[in-house]
Amino acid sequence: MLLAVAPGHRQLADGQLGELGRYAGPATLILASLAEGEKHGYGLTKDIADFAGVRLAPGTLYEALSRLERQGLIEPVASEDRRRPYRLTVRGAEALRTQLDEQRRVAEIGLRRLELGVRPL
Amino acid sequence: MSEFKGAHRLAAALLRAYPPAWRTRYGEEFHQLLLDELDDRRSSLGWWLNLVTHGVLARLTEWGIAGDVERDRRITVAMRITGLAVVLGGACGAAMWAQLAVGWQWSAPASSSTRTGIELITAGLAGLALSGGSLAAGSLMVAVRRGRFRQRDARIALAMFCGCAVVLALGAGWIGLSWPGTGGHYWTERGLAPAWLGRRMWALTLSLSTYWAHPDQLRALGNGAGWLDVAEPGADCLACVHVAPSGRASWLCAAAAVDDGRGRAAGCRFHVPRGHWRRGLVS
Repeated sequence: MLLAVAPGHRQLADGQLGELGRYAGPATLILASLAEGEKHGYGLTKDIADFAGVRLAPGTLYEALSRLERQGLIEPVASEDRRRPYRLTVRGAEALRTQLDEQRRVAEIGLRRLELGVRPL
Repeated sequence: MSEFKGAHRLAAALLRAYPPAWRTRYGEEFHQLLLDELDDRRSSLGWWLNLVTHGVLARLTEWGIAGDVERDRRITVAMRITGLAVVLGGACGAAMWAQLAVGWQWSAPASSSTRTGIELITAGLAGLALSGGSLAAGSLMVAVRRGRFRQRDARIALAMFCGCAVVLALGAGWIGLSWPGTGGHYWTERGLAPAWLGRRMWALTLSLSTYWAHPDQLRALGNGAGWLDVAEPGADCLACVHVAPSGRASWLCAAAAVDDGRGRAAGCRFHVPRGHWRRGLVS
């Protein structure tokens, strides 16, 4: 299934965060943070720093947020505060699950191969 | 808080690096994030660079030069940039070529450096003309073969008419002008380069060449050459009138060709598995 996107921008199939290119990493972190509940930009930055040890710079954060919103994976929540929160959409949750499953599969393969005794030089 | 006032002002100023549409949508919340991070003493050189870099990237994305942009739009923008480069490069190259060919420069006209220069510029101009002409002719042919020519034939006809009128007027107007140069390249001296072309380009760049021209040579033109002051900007205006609709018509034809390609591809687009090779670990 394909997602509705803004005119002039590429379409993204469900679960293909890799299509976000170099923003796939920040996007995964953002989606993982929003899986806990809605958060605004500063809340996202602090939460990601806490659970992943990565401090996303503001430009990187908002570039990833705008792409995720354009692809329909997150949506803004109405707020009277200047800090606008975002939340995960159903499609965003599916995309995050697919991405994490893929990462787990690769991680398991890597760990299994290490256990087989192949040692680095 | 006062110690951060300067940084707050700088952050607000740097927000202007982002495009207006982006600021309308994200500006307020993004600015608040910057203030929060500055108050949290999170800024560093990399932080500031990231702020500026993403502003520039957002602008390039808006223009279709970078970022998450469809292939057709990337092609469109690439064609615009290429066309602009060809026009600007061609104009500057033609001006330099005319100055060297006619020989109205301070350096010795027949020096080896002048010869090398004019050979290089001539080769560059020929390459530009070939690429630009091929692009325009190809797009026109594609449009005609796909039946889109009729929709824009009025504008194309206007462009062609203006082009022919300008060429005829210039050819007739400059053919009788005696060679004004002081020597120039041996190609022009021996008639190997078309004299009318050299004269025309020299005239087009007269505003530039007057600055460097030797006063004696200007006086040698006599009072009768005063009409050049009127004819030269007039011819330039005509040339601009020609270039604008020609470029527009060529551009429309090329865009029609891209549209046709997009229409044909639309039927199979939804079945193409995209991006599988890039799916994987966090980058």
